[in-house]
Amino acid sequence: MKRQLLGILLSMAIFACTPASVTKTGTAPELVPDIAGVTVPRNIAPLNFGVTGAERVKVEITGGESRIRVSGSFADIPVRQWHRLLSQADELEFRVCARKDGKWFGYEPFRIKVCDDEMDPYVLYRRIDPGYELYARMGIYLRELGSFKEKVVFDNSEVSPGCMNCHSVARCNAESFQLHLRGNKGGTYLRGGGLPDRVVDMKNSRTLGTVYPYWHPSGNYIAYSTNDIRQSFHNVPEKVLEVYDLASDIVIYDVRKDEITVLPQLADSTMLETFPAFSADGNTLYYCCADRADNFADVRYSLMAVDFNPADCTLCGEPRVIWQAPGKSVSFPRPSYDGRWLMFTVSDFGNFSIWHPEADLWMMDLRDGSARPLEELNSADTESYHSWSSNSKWIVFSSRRIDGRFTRPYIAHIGEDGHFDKPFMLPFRSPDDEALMLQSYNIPEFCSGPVSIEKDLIYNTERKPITVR
Amino acid sequence: MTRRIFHIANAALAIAFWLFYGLKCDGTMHGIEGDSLFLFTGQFACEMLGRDGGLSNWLGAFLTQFYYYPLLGSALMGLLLALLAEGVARFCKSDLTLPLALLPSMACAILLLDPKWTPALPVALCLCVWMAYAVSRIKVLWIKVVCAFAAALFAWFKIIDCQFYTYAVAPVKTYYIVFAATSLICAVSAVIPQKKMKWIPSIATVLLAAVFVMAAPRKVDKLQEEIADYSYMVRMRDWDGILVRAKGGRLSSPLSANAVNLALAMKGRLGEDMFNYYQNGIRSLINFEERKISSEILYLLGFVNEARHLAFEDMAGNPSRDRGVYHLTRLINFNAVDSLRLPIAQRYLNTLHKTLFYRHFEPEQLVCPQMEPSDDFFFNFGDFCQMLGFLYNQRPQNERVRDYFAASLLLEKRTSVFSSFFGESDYCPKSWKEALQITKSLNGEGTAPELQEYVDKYNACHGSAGGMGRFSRTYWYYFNFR
Repeated sequence: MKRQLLGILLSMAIFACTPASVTKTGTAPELVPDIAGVTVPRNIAPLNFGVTGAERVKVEITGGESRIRVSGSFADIPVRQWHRLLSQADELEFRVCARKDGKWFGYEPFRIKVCDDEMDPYVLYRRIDPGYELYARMGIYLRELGSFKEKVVFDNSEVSPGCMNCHSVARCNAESFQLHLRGNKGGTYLRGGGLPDRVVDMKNSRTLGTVYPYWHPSGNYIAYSTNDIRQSFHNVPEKVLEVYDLASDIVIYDVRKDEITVLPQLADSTMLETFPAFSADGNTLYYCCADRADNFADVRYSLMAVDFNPADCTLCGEPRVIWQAPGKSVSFPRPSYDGRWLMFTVSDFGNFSIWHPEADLWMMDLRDGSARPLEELNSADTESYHSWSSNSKWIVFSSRRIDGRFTRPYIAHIGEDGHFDKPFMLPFRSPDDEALMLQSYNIPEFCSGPVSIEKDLIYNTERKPITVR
Repeated sequence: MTRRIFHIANAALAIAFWLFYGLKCDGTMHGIEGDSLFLFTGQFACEMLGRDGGLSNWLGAFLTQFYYYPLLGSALMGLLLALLAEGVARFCKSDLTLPLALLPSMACAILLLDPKWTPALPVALCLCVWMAYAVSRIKVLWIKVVCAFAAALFAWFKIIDCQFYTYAVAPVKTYYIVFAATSLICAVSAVIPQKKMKWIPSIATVLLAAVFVMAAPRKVDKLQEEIADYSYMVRMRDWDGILVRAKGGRLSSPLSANAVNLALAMKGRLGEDMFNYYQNGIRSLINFEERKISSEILYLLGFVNEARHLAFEDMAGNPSRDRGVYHLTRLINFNAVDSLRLPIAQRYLNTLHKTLFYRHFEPEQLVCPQMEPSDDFFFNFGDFCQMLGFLYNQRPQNERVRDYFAASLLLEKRTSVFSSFFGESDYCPKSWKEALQITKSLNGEGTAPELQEYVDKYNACHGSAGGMGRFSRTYWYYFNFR
């Protein structure tokens, strides 16, 4: 009892923001990161934040009958209390005081919405320095969204050091997982198809190397693009580098048979086909397609669809254009798992949108084929890779909005009408942790369970060859 | 008596290492310091300590930051070596084995003179030796056994398996031999019974120390030290220092020539003085394989995008796979040129401000956006001369790129192209004048008296480079003999 009383007195002393000591600004605080007005799920980690230029902040968070008070150089919200608050309230109100140059300022309160739609508990991503050709440390990491815990799934130092990329899970289910590894322990790590985990060698004489994957909803197939990728370096300040394909096709990989099927409709040598994605029912294959051009800046990809027969891994009918716009190029089509929406990235040309500041997210309503730019998510800088949660209520997408270079994952909730609420950045323990993170977060994908890989398979087993049909 | 001589020898070795490393290897020390980073943040400590050998790596990085002041850094390393020898000596019951206690620290000192070896090696050895000594002092047997197991496990995961070498293929055998030899010395010293001896150990100690002092300096790679020196002076923008060091014109490597030519260009004397120094083709201007100096050259010329590219690749290709302060300072300077990239510079600056010696670092203002290309083109590493030509055409007011472009044409002996660009120029330094005289002579427009004098001398020497005397510092000489 005595201890509780002491606690109350102490917190009262700490939060003695009396009108005499605090200057009211009448404005909203400048938050780092900006969390005002966002919508969060009940299972998200605390949205810790700082106030620009503040030496110290005092924050009171109210939700329903409960409240949390924190103070420090940033708002470091206790995880347990935060989750208790989220479980009770549909809206949280934040009251912020900040000390700048020795003076305390009080700001207008802001709110965030708490949504009942569940979000998968993990996000899987690659962390890599946002560079050009070489790479230093990189790895695939699994982030627990309810806390700040991050687990290393695989680090490239373990393969002395090799590149790894294009991890992919089937519909957020880690039971079907693939990861490309380059270097002396190269191969594609595969889990799924009812077979034990294995590392296969996708190299073959009939196709280029497999690059961008997408799992069939059955978990039996992976559609891969095969790309001959090049990059060149610009010299004017507003551009950095250009990554483009000299050739690309799409093939289907049968996970149960370790067999690649080359589909003539998607292996046209006069066209560039890339970024395959299966529809929610698995009967349609979406992809991007462009005519080859001598100048990379003239290559513009259209959004295509073709019917797919999962029974015998064949295509039915002719591919059809489902979206194209003059002077625009499409990449990363990603249908929602409920079959309602199709999100894609639009840039001015090419397909490597992460280096295009103008790249934005668009979304198509698959019921009527209408598409619109997602103004509520887009920023002045790059928005690129995106993926859906397993219930299709949340998306996680890559954005370079902070500084134009370091990609961060943002999460947003979609309403029934197809409009997104304001997105929030993947929570960091502190604004400093984010500011000192000199790596980009690549290919964020929701995951319903933990991911682990059997490293012994990578080190000590022979690469399983594949057949091509 | 013997113990006292051991302590004196140990201290003398530490002082010798301090002075030699700090004074003679300062360029190398600056290079090591530039390639490493120590942040005063919990996140950095957690990340470092979480890795295999993390404690040694973290302490090694902590010590390396003091290489910023070579004499301070080498003093700390000298102390560490002395501490190691002292630790091993604690095991010596007999005076006879006392000289052996110096061997591990001597081995570490010799290895440290090769910049690829990191301070993590002596740190790891020192930690292990002192941990073993601490365990040996425990009196209760079961506590001793438990502590020995715990210490062994801790040592294996967090101390021994450290990053002792900054190169892809590490000499693991050497590392383990040093470790095994140290533990053997400790074990043998602990076993041999106590015995007081006066002269033999003392003489052995003194002899050992003397041999070390004589032999160790031979391990220093002078060429590497020269390159490291130039690289550091480029980093510190010490253009006068570079020219003083290069006085006499002898340069041992193309990288030294890169630094000297850059210094000349920064002082506006490239056209005037470049042939006072050894030149050999366009590699004298830039070597893209060495990303540190070449990124600085590209940046100072105005190829800021490409400089960022190389600086970034240099960081990503750092053998230790970690960032270094010099990588960050370059990325800050190179990104701070364009307002578009200021937030990126700020992010690197955030990190640098968590260090000890760079917490007040601010970007420099040596390049302005008006020096950068105005129209886009893809950079071609294979034809630097052409890239310079593109930039010069777009930014004729950029004097550095003008001088470099002219120098590249001269070094490639493309005198007719040179004349077409610079034949009518009001600015005409010595080497340009000499090149234009060659073109005129070759075009049959008459031979200048100075050139005629050179030709006469050339004929008199029968085309031999050795007898050209004062002409050896002319473009004509370069044209004929390189």
